[in-house]
Amino acid sequence: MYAGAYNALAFRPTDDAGDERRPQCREHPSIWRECKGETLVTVNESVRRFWAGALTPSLLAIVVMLCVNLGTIAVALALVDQDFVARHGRWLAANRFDYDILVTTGALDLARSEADRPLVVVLGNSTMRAMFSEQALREHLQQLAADAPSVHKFCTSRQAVLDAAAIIERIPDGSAGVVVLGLSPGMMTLGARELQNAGGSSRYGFRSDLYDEGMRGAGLKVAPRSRLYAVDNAAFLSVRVPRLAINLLLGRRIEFVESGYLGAQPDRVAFEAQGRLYGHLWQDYAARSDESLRALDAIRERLASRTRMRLLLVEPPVNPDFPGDYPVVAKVYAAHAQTMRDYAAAAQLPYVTPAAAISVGHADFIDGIHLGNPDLFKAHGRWLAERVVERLQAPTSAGDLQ
Amino acid sequence: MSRKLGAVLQGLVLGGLLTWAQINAIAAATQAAIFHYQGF
Repeated sequence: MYAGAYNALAFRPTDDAGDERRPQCREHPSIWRECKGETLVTVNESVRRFWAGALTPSLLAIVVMLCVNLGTIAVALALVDQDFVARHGRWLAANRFDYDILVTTGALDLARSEADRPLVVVLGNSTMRAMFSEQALREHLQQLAADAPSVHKFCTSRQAVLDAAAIIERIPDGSAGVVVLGLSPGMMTLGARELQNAGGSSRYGFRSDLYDEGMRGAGLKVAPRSRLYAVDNAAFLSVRVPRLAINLLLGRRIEFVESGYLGAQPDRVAFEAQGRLYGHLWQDYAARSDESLRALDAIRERLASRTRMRLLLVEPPVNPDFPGDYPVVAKVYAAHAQTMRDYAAAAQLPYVTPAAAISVGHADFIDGIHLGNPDLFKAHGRWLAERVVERLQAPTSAGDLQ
Repeated sequence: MSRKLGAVLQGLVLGGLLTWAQINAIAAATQAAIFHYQGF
């Protein structure tokens, strides 16, 4: 009907009331509405009025604005929960190495699973992520164990022991299997304050009692919990929304790379930068390793009280030239090895390192601490599978109970 | 009708901007950050 009206725009617009008796009304019955009293409007006039409406404040604009804003908030509160993030969280990823999102979706997915199958959950920082192939671990476990556990590689860049505690809280109650915790010296230097400076609880899309307790223990403020996922994880979601918008606009679904170091060329600049970084790591290790060990105690207690998971402590390999070229690195690693041996002995837990079984050289590393050799990546996966099976088959020790 | 459509467009744009500002305010207030790898 209005198409007919616009076809009638050959007529000059009129501001007076229409009249059914006017010639154009008789000739073009399709413009009956204009003929009955409404002003005939040209396209230009329509456009002018449109922009006037768009640029002039009005009650309608305010109402629409509030509806959009409050509606978005209502939808977020209603729809965005941990199941939603578990299913669609990849759309929040920043890049192929955004392991925080990879682990968030994996951990939330694990949390909603049933505890009906043995699990292997591997935690640690980037040195652990670069150490072993998840596929090699999984395949070798299937060969070694009749009831092959499902494997979950939850290693993230610069993961602290407190981060690991937050992740293991996602393991369903009653689960059986092994939690492998790769502990490098760098991991032990990250306390609550360092974590807060790196984004705190906004790194992962889940809140954790152990993490919050660790923060409070360091005298830091913790955002209150409300039981509404979107509210509790507002920090995580708010910083990820721009990434979501970009990924949706570009139709980009991130495919993660298991290790960015795999097959890369050795980087002398990074090697030397890490050497300089370790210059003050010794003081950091001395100051904060106790805090990390307390977080490790909390992990053990949680696993013993809520699950049947056994803990296996692993020291990732290091470039042999790294402690060789930097005496302070040798000092830190020696102190770390002693600290962990003492802790493991007191807690009656196994503490293993692949160094005795798998020989590594300078050329196998990208820098001081990240393995890059693809063959050793798979070899460490197989080695880890053997240690996991040993752990599963070992008799229950006091370390497994507390 | 055209004026109302324009007002609706204004409301949609302002609503989107208001929501975006709130999201950024939450991120700033909580010191939220996407972690970028730093070396170890």
